[in-house]
Amino acid sequence: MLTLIDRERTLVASCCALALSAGVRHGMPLAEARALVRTAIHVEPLSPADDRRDLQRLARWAYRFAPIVSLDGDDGLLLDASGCAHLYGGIDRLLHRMLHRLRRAALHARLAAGPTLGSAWALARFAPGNASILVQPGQLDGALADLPLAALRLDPASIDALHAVGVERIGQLRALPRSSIASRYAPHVLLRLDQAFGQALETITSTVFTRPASVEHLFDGPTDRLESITLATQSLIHELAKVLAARQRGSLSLRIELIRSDMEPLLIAVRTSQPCCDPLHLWKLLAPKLEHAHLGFGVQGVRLTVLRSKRTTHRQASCWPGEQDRPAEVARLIDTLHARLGSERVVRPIAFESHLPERAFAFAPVLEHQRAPRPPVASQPVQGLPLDRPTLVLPSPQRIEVVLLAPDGPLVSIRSRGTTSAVRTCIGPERLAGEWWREMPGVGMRDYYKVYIDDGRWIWIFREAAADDHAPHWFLHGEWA
Amino acid sequence: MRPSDRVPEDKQATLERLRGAIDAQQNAGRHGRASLATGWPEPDAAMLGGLMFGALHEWFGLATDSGPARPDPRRSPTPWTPPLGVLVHLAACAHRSPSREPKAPPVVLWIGRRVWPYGHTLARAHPALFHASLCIDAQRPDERFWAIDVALRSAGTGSVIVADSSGLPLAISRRLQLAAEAGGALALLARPPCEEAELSVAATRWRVRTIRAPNTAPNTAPNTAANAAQRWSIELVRCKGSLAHASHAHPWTVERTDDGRLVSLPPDLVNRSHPAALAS
Repeated sequence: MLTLIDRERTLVASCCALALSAGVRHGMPLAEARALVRTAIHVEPLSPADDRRDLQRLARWAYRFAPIVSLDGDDGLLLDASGCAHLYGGIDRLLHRMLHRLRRAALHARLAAGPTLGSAWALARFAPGNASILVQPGQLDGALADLPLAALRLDPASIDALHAVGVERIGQLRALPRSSIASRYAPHVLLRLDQAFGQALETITSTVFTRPASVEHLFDGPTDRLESITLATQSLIHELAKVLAARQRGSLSLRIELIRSDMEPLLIAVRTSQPCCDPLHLWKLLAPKLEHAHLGFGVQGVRLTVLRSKRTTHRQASCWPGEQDRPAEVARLIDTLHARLGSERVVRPIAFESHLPERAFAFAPVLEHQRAPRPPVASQPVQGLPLDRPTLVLPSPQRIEVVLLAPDGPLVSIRSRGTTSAVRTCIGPERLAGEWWREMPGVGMRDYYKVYIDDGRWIWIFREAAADDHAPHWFLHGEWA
Repeated sequence: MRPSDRVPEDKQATLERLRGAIDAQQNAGRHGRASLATGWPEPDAAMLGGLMFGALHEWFGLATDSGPARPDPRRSPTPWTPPLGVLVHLAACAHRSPSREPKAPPVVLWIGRRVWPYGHTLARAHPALFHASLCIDAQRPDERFWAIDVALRSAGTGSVIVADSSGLPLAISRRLQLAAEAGGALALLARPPCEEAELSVAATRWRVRTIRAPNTAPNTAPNTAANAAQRWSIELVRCKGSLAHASHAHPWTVERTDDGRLVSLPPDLVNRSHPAALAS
């Protein structure tokens, strides 16, 4: 029995035939199901990712019966076996053989073969009776007529609309005039009906399986000699580069596994910003990490696996010396910096839609930011820029004290971190209000001033009104350096 | 042997040849490489064209008086701010310069958090500069110098490197200079003003200073163009392969314009009183 947790309740998501016969139904609380079954029953949480992986394994297995195999939802496979049946002595024998194999693997499957994909889908899921159903082209009308409307792969809204007028079976729907179906219901109702009866074309796309590129080298015995491990890894990287080049793909994320004796394997990851199949570059990124690896009691083997890869673009080779591929060089530089410093420390500036100086511009990691879409302002940061901003803006404003000639009068001097500077020129104010649409406590109405102080610096200070009619606070926020 | 006053004919020819060879040697690096015009006529003339690519250029930055109170000056060095306005101006010049490959503009690397400019300044100087900028947060000196070295050596990037180089030892500056020559990148190294006495092999050394306000009554004059202008003085302290900097001893003054660029001011314009003051 597989369970899922919904609103802090553990419900039955799926169960075996034994549990079904005992009266367990999907969506039933687990405690109730346990009470119904009464015998020892294996309960496990539902894992959609594992199910998906197993279904893909099954699809790979199914390629021995048909050249086109596709996953259908979370729990089905579609096979286009046109022209293959005679290899097994007829479609019925093909079905029988598949069912036999599946049962041997302890899988309870329902198979159906029909002249159209739609009919096979409907029969496999909704036809009563046997686990294997075969319908010849001439029997299609009779076989489908009694099935419920859900067998046509319609959406729940259309099914409800048809139920409301008393249409519950495919045969009833087929008896309605086509023109009224087309005008009253969603267009796909007619399409699905036609697909089931072979009056509209339907094709499936074959699922392509590629194993992740992986190479490994096992030593004769555990070794703690770094030279041996280094040489083995280098030759593996060259081998992997050949595999990737043959597939016309480049590695984006590479995992190096040092299989250590009496310890769990050590995993090292190498990420690149562009798909890369250059062994020298990959080795350059990996070498410093390998030097610091903890070898434990000895390494028994090295395994390299490409976790993420991408198709490489073809580039014209350069004929003239000195002409280099600049984007690729920049990508290599980013990778090298990233490998030593980490992703958070190789960043690029990005712009945001905000008039508050500390929010308007930020820095985002290069590798993450390449995948994420840019904010709309970032593509045109020049438009709508305020007139003048300092070259250096402090991430958080610093509190300063000021002397005014009179309350709300001209500035005389500024005291910041124990140093007093006389003000020579003061330009302002530029008033910036807090963003009311964003909950930002502490950002009130600010009056910014450009101030020229006596040591020759231009600084950017602001006055923020304090609550409760107290004297306003002054802050230093930037400098024109 | 008595020294003779007249040099024989063949010796004269040999000397001429040697002089020519030395000239060729001295200018070999300069003629072989591109240079970046700063957009300031006098400094460009003093450098025989501009800042050379494939070389280090040191910019001694601005001292800040209002730093944190420091109990032990040996532990926390004098606070300073890199001359970001000047550095952004030069990076933008490198982006605009048409002589470099037009297809792929160079990447600008800002190494060390201290030299990261505010995004607005980058976008204002040149929109493309904003997108071509890459900031590297390397705090420890060894990380910083390693990042500069790697960036200089990646030959194909044609990059401009702006880096916080406080505490740069002579040996590492030699290594960086070799890396710059190998990669052909332009390296602008910002250094604190207290390190001016340190040795390095940089091709040029510059001193940037704020201009102290005249000792007038504080904040009483009206905000006119003359006293509201943002100005810095820049001085060429050393320029390898050229003695011209000796004849241009006086510092030049650069001023920020309304559109965010830095222009150099002719000396007679710098000291001119404001027309309003003259009229009174």
